[in-house]
Amino acid sequence: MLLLGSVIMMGCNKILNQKPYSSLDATTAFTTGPAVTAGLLGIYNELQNASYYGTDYTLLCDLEADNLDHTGSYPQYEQVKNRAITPDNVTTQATWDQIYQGINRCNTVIASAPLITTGGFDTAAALGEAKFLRAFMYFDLMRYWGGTPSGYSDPNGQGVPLILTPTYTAADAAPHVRSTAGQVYSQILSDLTYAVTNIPATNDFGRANTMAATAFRARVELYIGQYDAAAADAETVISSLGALSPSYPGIWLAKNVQPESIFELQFSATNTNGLYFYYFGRDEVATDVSLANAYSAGDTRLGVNYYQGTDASGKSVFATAKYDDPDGSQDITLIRLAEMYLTHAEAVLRGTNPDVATATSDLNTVRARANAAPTTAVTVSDLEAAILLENRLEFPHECHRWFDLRRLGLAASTFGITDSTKVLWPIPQTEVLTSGNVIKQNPGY
Amino acid sequence: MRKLLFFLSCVLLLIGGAAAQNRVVTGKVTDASGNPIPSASVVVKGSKRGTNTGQDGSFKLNVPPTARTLVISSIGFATMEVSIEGVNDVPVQLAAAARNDLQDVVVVGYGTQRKRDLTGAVYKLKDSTMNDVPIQGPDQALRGKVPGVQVTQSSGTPGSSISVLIRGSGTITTSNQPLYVVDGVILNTGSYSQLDINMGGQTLNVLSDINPNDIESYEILKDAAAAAIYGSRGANGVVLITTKKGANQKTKVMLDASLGTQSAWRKVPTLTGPQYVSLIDEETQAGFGATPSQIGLQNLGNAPDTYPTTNWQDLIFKNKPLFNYQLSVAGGDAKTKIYASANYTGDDGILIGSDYHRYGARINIDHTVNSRFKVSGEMAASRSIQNRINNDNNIYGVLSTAVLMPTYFKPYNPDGTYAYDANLGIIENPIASGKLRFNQAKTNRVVGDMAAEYFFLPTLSLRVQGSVDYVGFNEFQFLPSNTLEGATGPNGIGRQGYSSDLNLLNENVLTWKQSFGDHNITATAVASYQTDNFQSIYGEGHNFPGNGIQELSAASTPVTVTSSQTSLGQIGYLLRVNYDYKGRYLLSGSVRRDGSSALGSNFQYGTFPAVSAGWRISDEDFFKDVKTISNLKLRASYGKLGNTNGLNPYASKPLVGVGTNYVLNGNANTPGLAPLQIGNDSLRWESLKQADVGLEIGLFKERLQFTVDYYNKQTTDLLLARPLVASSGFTSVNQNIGEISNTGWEFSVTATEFATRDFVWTTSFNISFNKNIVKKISGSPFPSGFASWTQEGYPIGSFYGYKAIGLFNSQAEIDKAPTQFQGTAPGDIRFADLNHDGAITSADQTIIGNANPKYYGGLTNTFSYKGIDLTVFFQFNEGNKIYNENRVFAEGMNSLFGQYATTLKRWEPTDTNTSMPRAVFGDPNGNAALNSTRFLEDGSFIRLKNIILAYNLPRSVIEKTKLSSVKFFFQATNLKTWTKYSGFDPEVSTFTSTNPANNVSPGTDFLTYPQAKSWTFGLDLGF
Repeated sequence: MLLLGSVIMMGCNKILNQKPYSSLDATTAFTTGPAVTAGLLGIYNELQNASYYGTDYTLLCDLEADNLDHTGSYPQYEQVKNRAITPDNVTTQATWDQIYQGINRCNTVIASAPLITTGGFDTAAALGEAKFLRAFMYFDLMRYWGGTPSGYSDPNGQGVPLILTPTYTAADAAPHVRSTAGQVYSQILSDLTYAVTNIPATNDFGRANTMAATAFRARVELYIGQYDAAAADAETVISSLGALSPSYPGIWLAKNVQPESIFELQFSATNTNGLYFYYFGRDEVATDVSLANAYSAGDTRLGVNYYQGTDASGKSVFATAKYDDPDGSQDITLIRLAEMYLTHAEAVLRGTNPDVATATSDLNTVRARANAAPTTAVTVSDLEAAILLENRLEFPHECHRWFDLRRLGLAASTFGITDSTKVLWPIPQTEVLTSGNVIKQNPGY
Repeated sequence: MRKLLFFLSCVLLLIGGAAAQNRVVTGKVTDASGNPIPSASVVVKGSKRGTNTGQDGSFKLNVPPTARTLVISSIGFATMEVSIEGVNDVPVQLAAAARNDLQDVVVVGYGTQRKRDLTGAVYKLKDSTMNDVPIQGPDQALRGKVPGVQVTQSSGTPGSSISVLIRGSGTITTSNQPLYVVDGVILNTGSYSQLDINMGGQTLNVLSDINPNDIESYEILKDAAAAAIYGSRGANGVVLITTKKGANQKTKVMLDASLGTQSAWRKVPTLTGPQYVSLIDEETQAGFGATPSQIGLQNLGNAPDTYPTTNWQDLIFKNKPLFNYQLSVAGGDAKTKIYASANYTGDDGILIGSDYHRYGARINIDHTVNSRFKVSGEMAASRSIQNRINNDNNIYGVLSTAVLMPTYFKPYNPDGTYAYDANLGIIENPIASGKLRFNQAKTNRVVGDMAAEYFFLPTLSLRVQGSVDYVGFNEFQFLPSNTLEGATGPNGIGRQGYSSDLNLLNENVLTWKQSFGDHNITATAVASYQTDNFQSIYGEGHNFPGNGIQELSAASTPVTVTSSQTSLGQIGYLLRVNYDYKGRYLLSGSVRRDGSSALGSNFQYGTFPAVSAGWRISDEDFFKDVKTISNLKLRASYGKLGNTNGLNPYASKPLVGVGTNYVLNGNANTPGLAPLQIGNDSLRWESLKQADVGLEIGLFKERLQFTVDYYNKQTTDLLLARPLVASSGFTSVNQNIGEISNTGWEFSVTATEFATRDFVWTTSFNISFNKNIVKKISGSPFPSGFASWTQEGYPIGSFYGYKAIGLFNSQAEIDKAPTQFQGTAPGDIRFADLNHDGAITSADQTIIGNANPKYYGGLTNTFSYKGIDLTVFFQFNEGNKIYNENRVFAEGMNSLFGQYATTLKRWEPTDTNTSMPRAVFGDPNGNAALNSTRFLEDGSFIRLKNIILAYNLPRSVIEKTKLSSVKFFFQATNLKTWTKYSGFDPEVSTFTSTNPANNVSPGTDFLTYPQAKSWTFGLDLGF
């Protein structure tokens, strides 16, 4: 019996120490190079999430602007279309939640990568890529929830909680107060400066590289009014990548069309996004006819962006040819070369020394590709308006329109929103309540 | 533990060695048939000197010269005195005790007790009529029979899950179902199906694999004192199941066969085709000011009376057989006893496409090696095959489509193919759903144990038991290309899943039973070790070459392959001491220390103590003269229990998850990793403290027995997800936060009204009252299910919604009322403005009722006249509400779904004397779309659950045959139900108990498979 007892005692620790099989123990998960690399890909997986680019983030931008109509049944979408979003909107809440989940993934990789000392693992490259993604996600948070009704350039505008270290325990998850817009953008730029230097010059399609980081920095600078810097970064990209891909419809017929595609979120038949289903399956959104009317005759972009297809029940719908493959495997282009031309055009126009000639030339480069006539605008203000319109014509369904209006302070006036504070989304009610009001609500909600 | 065992052994040896002197008397104690009676007490009369018999019934006792008489007693036998004057060897034959169930032996877990000695709330259910009733699993046997045990057959799906709540639900996220223990083997419960999620609502029930025909008795441990021996498993109560054993008797072979038929006890009338077409016209006129054709609806443009009518319910409800065949052998000799059985049972389900068949066998062996050593083994193996259909919240379900499908077209096209609604193309044809969709689950199960018991002394034994419960679960679904789901795109869908669960348990029980004169002590020490390993794999493929081959290898498009594995380890140590003085003052104390691998490293072990006491007042001297009261016992208990049942085995661990994959270079799927869960080293048991006071009264020599119990059960440290700010990257962490209270009364009465030589009439009645209140949760009140709501201060299972207070009859009434909704028109529901802000907003919702009965119970009357036995059993439930989600659709009058005939009474400008609102497409007022009292119904019912008429052939007839017994019986189940509930069945829940997430959503009906009304004839032959 004593023997039995001692055998049993030895077994006890084993019985109470059961290892997980389907997950990894977080305390040891990210201690090898391949694991950290997988962690890096896990960040991109977050970009694919249905609440993020995979569906909602992408659609709501055009829906809140004038490119999409709400034809479906989701009351949360209806709120966005009406620009009357309540803090308990579960769709915008899920987007907030998911982006921060992605930021924690970035922070986890950023904390883990320096500890990997095994050969073959490029710590600086991994850090550069993770910091690029962290900057990308904070920028995306700021686009909806941050800034002021007149744009993103006021450093005292609304920021978001700035969290730069991973959450390992419940104590780490204590609420952080919101930083100012200036603090968030300076963190974004600091991450991007590291990324531009350290990220690989070439990378797999779907992952960021030096050009993606540079192009993205141009976008950030354009948003916060650092036009000279934006022009310089855009110029770097344009001079490196050269002319636009020749055909606008052609960009959407294949994946990773070069040199157009700079940063493209990849999907496959078994790793899909919901855009086809929302356009053609449940008919949740449809392209607004005002977009079609904005094109001049012969513009090759019309057929892509005001695309007449049939939904699952055979009904005719107006949607987009960018996401018309029923298996949901089409990529979502996050940054492409045409944006750099229009960014460059706008930045040189709004910069320290307005350069009408270059701006006109850049604008016409984009228009020429689409078989559209050269711009007739000659004054600075007409050109600015022409570039804004061109952004609408060039990038529908690509998550640009609402933010172009937001960054220029034009969202409220364009859509007749009487209470301009409503152009910022409300911080999710759960976030405010759970934080015990440490995380303050945006003004106006 | 090692030290404890050693110490105990030493103490016992000392005590054992203390007896000495004088002459030695030996003897052997047997029963009337000569079988030895082990553990019988042998005491010298007038002294404290005594011993117990060994396994072979023999004893050896040193007696002083003055000793003249020995007193011999044993449970279940009349106490006997024998003279030892002049003899040294006395054979003793004990007669069976007079029938008095106070002497009944009750299994209490790790041992037995006489019923009279119990100090905890233990209910013994031994009901031979259960063999005559068509039930699939042991949980069904408890329906309405046990005070404090609320059994809800949440669906009529053959072999599906059933909810058993002992003294209310005391948890939100872990399982609220009791622990089931068969012959000491802790059972796996729940559903292993990975397809449940695609199926609608009802899940499988692995308990159905335990053959009720093999069960001798059920003991239900209800209070903390009784259940505390199972420590961290006992919080929801424990159901101990004892299977039939052989005996030292002539071998008895029994063949029991029953066969019957079943049908739906109720169908709900629907609109005829013409009525439906008229209604849709009225809907579109009200909604759009246009005819159905004008808004683009197909095939609805003709005159209503030109349309046919299809009664879908008549096409899917069928009369179907059910049967049960059991062959058993019981017998043995003085050393070896054996029980063996084989069983085949089937229930062919009243809805097309569903059935459940099970084959099983069992063998139980007890063998006495010598007077000190006993071994025993029990083993049951079974295989069940279940054909499943979709149901509940599912557009491919059989009943769900039969209700939601309009009635105005024929079920088949002229070419024989299945017909679909021209406008509701998403809804499967109900017959196609039952006949074409294939979904089969096969469960192979082995439950077995092997035990050895060694008597160091007649009073001290060690029992070592090793047991296994193995479930191998296989499921196969094929949706051919001619079904709606299989057709759209995928061109045939195949899904296969396999799961296995291996539950290994070792328990070591040291028992010491000693009497010191009038002081009786039983001490039990237990060490228990358990590991549970679960593995599963699942695959899905599309695009099959026709429907002839259905294996996944034929699918040209593989869609999913996943697998999973979890393991859980649990350790428990128990020490229990039962003490009584003259059987009059009873005292019991136990403490169990449990460890679980699922909990945080700081709290892996928890301690669960319990104390209880009983006072048999009727044994007091001052009570001797009270002849009418044969038994009066007061008992009280208090104890602490834990619960982690159903907790994710890794709930306390910080985890990094897999599956967060990405695609590189356009098509290369590449693995990703991402943080999944924050750990909590302080995650601990849900803790339950329960007090119980019980009074047992027996009158007129136990002809009238009355038991009442009051309990107060407070659960704290509920495991909940505490919300975190999402900006941390996580939205919650598992933590011990919530509190729930259950308090209640239980009454049971058993009376023998008549007992003559030929005629006996007994009645047994039980009724229970439970009050449940959620005391504390984390964060705000939260919704679940359709209208369920969990809020502090209200019971689990509350419903939340608007108050519907009649209909508007005119625009003037609407104008005067608080602002309703845009588009509200006469004939719409008037909702109450509860916060008096002049408008109907979401703030006007309130708690409108709850799913918990005020009381529930059962009434059994048994009449025996000569060889005829008639048993009539009623089950009842009173005061619970059901949220009838069926009517949200089938009385919605706001869409194209098929409608109940009750919508004929709808409001029309010319017919305003009704409570049924107007028909309007789109429902601008939210008549149907808003959760409201409109759909909340009284779920009370009284059910004539079983009526059994049995006839035993008289001995005089049987003697002429080679048979030893012949019984014919007829039984009917659910013959009659009295209820105000309008749905298919008042005993429903679309959110099944298998999934702890559903704890908070009981009592919602949504297109759930109803129970059947059945009749069976049976024949039991004994050889």
